[in-house]
Amino acid sequence: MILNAEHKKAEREKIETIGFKCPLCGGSLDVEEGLKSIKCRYCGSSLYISAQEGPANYYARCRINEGKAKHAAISYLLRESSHNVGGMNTSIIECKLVHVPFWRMHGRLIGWIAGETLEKEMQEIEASGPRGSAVKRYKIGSKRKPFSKLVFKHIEWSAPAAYVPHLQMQGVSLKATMLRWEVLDHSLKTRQNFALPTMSEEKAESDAYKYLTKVVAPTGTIVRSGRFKLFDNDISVYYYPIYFISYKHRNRIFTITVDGVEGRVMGGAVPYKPRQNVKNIVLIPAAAALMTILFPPLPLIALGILYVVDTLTMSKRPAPIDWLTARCAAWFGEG
Amino acid sequence: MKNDAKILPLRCKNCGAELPVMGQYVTFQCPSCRRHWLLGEDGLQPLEISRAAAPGDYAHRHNLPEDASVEGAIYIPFWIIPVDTRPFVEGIRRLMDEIAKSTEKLIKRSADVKRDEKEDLFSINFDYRRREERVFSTSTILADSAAESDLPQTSEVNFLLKEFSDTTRLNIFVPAFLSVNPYAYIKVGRLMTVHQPEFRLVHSNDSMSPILCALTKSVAMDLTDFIFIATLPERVQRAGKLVEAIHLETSGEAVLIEFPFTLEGHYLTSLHGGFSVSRKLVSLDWQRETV
Repeated sequence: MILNAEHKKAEREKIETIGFKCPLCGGSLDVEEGLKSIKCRYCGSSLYISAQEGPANYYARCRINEGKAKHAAISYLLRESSHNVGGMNTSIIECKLVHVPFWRMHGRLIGWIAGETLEKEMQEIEASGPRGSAVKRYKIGSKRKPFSKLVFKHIEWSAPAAYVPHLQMQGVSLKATMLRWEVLDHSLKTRQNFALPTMSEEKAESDAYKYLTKVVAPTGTIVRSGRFKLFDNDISVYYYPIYFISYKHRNRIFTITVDGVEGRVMGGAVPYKPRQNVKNIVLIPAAAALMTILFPPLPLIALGILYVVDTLTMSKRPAPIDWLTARCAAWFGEG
Repeated sequence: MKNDAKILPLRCKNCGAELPVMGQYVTFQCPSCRRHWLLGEDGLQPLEISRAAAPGDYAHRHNLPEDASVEGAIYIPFWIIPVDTRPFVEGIRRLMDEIAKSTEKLIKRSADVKRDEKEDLFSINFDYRRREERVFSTSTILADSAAESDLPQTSEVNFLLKEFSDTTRLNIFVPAFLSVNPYAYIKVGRLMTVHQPEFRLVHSNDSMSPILCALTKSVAMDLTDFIFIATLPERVQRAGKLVEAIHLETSGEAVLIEFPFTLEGHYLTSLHGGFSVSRKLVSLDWQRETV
């Protein structure tokens, strides 16, 4: 219990930091977001963070190597398929590390909204009784009441800046424990894979604005008018390392994405998930046994009829062995 | 995307001395030449800062000389933005005309619908269903029009006209302190702006106490309209069209002025504004912010 409370406290106290280098001594500095001036912990000189024109670019260093990423992907694949994806039919065909861009906006939002709020209330209605007498009945109705609200809050918004298939990630947060963002050295783009942002800054800003203005409206209200102003806002591009691991299973290609910082699997496709139908496992052998008792060739005759029916339904003739495997899989589950 | 955030040496532009680190605050005072600097979007800019002297009655009660700072007081900075209320009042009058026109239109529309209903009643091809639709539309037109147009009531507009017809100039007080609760800016700004305190200035360049200003001038200008909206009564704030139309025009340069507050228990009391706010709303420990 104490550990839990302490953990929560630590979560709250997490401070967002960005890595810089002291221009005077070259020392590595972790600057908390929001600070305007700092002291270099190595040379002690006073420094200030200048406002940049246009969005700043930051990136997180990849902390795990290709081998670890592949290992995480294989473990995930085996676990998810209950060890049914064997090495015979499966092989990793590509493992690519890509720094995926995300737009992130943070700052403060001040606004005013006005409109109507719907309040539920008990309404009295008159209805005719059994002998024509008037009876009072009640129903729950809603009443519109005007409302206005002034809002002023810290805001945080993030979204992928490029379309990346199989991404499985909605945005980035600077409050992750293991993350250390650094100012991007653009020469890195020539040495490593950096996906280019396809969403423009204007689009990102407008999306963020739309989202934030929607978020501030209380639930159950109809906003008719509003005015908002974003200030101290900073829009930046954050590149996050992600491994895209493609593997081939029975001539089909699947992808698994692995977090390049923490090494955990973010998501991925698995050829099939085993599902066992307990009812069929009992009923079908029982039916087969009963048929054998009644007339020993009866199960074979039944299978033959089923094969003919399936062939007519599929309008093609599969090999009997393949058909039997598929049938068993359908009855008893994959594997 | 070429200009990334940079970190630069913090030095006085006048004498080159190293300025003290102020954490999240944007004002700096040179320890050598005692000039003040404001860190904005264009880097360090010179800043003139003044202090409000103790109010007359307070100075009289405490036997303080005129134009004196208050000993032991906590000085909290405010951006004071003078605004001209004349364009605002003209805007309200225009809105008043709009209300009159739209009401006229609404009455005419309602009358048209009623006439159509009468014609329907006496028409040969009487259709109950059609009549029901008409009756429904008559009752809803008025409600829908009022909701859609979102126009203020005449009483609200008259209230504003009465309030601002005598004044041509108004000072908007935008708090510049640092707060963990962003709503504190609206609360303290509203209380000071409503009070419109009169004050005398004393120059504070000789003082070496840190200026606890965390807002740049441009941000303060952006907040002006919202602080003004916060000063309006709630029924006026609900009038969507009216509040959307409020755009104040500044009539002078914004100035940064420190106002004295006294710490009484857990509350900070403004000597000029005559109000108290929780001490927790204002971050006063500048040294902690810089660590």
